[in-house]
Amino acid sequence: MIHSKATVKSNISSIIYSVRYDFWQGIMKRFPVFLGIGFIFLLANITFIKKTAVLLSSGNSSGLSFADIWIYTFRGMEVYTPSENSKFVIPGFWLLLQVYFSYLVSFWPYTNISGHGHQVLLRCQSRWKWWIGKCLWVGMSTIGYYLIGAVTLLLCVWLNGGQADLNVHNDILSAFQIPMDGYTASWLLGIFILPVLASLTLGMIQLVLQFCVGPMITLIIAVAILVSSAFFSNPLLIGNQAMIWRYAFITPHEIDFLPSLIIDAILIIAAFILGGWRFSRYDIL
Amino acid sequence: MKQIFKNELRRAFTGIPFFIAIAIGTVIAFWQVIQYVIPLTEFVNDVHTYAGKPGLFPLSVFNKWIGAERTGLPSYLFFLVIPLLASLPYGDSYFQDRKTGYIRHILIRQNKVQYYVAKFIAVFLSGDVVVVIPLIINLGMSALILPSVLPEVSTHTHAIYAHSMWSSLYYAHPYVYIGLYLLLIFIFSGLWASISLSVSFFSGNRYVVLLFPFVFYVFIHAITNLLNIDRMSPSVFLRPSQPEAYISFPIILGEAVLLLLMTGGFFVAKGKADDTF
Repeated sequence: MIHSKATVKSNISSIIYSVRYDFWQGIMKRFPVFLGIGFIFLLANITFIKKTAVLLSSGNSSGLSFADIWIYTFRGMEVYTPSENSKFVIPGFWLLLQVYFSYLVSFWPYTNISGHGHQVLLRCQSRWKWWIGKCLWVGMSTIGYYLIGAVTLLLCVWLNGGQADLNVHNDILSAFQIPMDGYTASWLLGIFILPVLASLTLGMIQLVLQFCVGPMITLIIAVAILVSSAFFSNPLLIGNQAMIWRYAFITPHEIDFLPSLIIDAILIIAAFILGGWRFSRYDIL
Repeated sequence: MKQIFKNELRRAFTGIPFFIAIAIGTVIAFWQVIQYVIPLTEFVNDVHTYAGKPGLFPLSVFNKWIGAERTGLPSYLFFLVIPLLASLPYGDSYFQDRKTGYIRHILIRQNKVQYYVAKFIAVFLSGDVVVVIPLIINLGMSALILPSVLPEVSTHTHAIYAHSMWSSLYYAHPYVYIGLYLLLIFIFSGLWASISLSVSFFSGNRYVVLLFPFVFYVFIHAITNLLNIDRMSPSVFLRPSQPEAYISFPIILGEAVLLLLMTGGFFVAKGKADDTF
């Protein structure tokens, strides 16, 4: 019994060591890449800031909130119906926000294991523990990405005279042709959770693929998933979950909160297990 | 010069990444043919059957090859991942040469400028070829299936309008138009691949070197989208279907010169000035 307690303690301390290492080496030491996130979120909202400033100063709006700018940032695009007269174009900043996240998580674990990650693996004494550390790194990177983004958006709201609350203002969003008539408070959680979960799921898929096909082809696959998501409205194509325009309260019968949550959970668990299995057989030397 | 040039080209064109990049591009090219070209064979047969009936005009290779397709997923994806495909074969070679110390062995025997010029040309050409070969395969496959009927303005089935770049050429000599566009794609693919060379001086990570051109490409797409000047984005003007109006050749030329200075000019000048040993 004492022995098993010691083993558990040792396992936990190995994982904590791995997580601490990943946090410092994989996030803090790559801070310039993370600073880029704030810049991209700021650029993505320049039009919104300019237009809402005019609306607020002219008294044509009931107010501006953090939820408004979040919805604008992750609005994505309407469901695309292919026809000869409608060309397929993905909104530039939605694509950049997703591609930048994919870039952020696309190669660090792979390059790390070829370098001093070896030493960490030896200290962890188990490939599974090392793998858990990397999965948690994807989680930390996702949270870091959205945290920096959210802080940038909050600053934009405050500088524009808005409030840091979560009230959705239909008049503001309708000025950007985002119809929020079907919105109910029950969707509040979905609006904030689903884009984050979509990124986490994509990040986990990329983590597994890195050790199967390498970072370059992994990024091509991630881009293919994102572009396909814009083309087809299907919750299995996880980029759809990062497009608020496709949520069921705007586009009926499309992305719903609970099914999306289940899909993400299944994909994350599958990626964790498959990736761990793959990494335990991965030729490191 | 001849020896180093031959050596660099051999390394660029015989590596596994070169064939992987061509394979990825070709898969997308075939996917486009299967989804958008092959289903039209029925329509082409109908046109033969209903010959003489007014109002029926066959869709041609100029409507449906990957470069002309405006509404499809494979064509959008192909033109989006051009920088990834272009830098994959040899974009990181200078970074690897420095990291492994190979560059020192070369520069003992070769002139420094000659090495940098040969490296730039090899990266440029490998980037071009992996992008253009799948396009030529797609064009050839489409031409095997669909007729090369001269585009007719009044059918309103073509993507090129009066305000489009080289529109008169398109309606008079469509294959010359496609040839010129392939040349444009050829030049830009090489330039995007060469961005990796410039990034090699500043990054210690191979994948930053390889992936940076793509992130930069998407960034430019987003900025031009924000400023409502999408026509200036390479992801838009490199598509022969010209999805935006008023694409201008002088602007494209200006961007090419700027990219050439940022990549080739900077790479050779910085390489010459830097201390290798």
